[in-house]
Amino acid sequence: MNRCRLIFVLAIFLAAPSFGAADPEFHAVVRSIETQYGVHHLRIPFGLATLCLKIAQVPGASGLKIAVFNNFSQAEIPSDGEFEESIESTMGSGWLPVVRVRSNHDLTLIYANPSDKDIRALIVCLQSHVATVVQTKVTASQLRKWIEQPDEATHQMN
Amino acid sequence: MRRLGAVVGLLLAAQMTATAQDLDPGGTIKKLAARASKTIDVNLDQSMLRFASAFLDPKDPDQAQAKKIIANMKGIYVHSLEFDKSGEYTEGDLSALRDALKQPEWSRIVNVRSKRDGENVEIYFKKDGEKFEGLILLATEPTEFTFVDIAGPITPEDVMRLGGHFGIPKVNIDQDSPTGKGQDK
Repeated sequence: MNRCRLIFVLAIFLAAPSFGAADPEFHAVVRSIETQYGVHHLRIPFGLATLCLKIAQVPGASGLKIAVFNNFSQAEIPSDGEFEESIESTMGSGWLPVVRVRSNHDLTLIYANPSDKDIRALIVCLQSHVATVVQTKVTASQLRKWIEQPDEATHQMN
Repeated sequence: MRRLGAVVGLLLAAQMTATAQDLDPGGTIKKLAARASKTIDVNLDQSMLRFASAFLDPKDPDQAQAKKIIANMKGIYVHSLEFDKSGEYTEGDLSALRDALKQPEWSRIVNVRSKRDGENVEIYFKKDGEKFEGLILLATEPTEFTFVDIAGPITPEDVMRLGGHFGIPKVNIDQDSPTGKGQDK
């Protein structure tokens, strides 16, 4: 079972119906996906989200939010940057596209918003049947790891 | 391609700034990406690079050098493309890219061509007078293409010094070689 599905199965039991008020860009991205693809997310509660990231072995991650779209059914990952443009148009300034990994059946986007104290990362992962949006604070070393080994970020989110 | 990956990683360590160029003459990379089975794009701007450099140990001579180099960089763009089979792109597809690099401000410092495995690496430096203002690395294999664009002051020595940091491979540039022009192996 890949990690998206593990998250989904756990979320069936523990998901909460709505988000809090913080992190507007996370909400905006989730809503954008819902609007574009006619899907609805399951929110993973904080404690479970933390557990999921530990399972995914993302050290130093905190302040985590996860939304999973289990009924995502986009047969072909959108091409030519259309999806990225729509996502980026919903995000506020300060967010930088850092990594994009695209294959025939997967698209992973990593955005970063560095500040003096930490880096917020927003990861969007689209697969044929599951989409995942994760926002978390990460260490610079973790972000560097994703940058140097982009496939690892994809694997951790799946 | 492991070596190329390391180069890419190294380049990732550096960053790009608001003035970074992210060259793509004729939309070459975009066109190739449309044919690729997998693409990896990395963008690092100046703020990201500054952040990354904060985690390099200034007491370590190697890291201290890397930190200094990165501090002045404006940005790094990496585009890595993988194709299902050879022949999905040709030298002709790269002509617009190479033509752009024939402009006077660009000088090819490294040109390594391997007839054995078809792996070619070219490194171009952008010069403004005596100052180096940027770097382009083209790495081609039958089923892979990597394009690295570093904006900002970087010298051949810097490229070698950055090798091993941020996943950047060790790059040896023999500046006494005639050209910059490269070698066949």
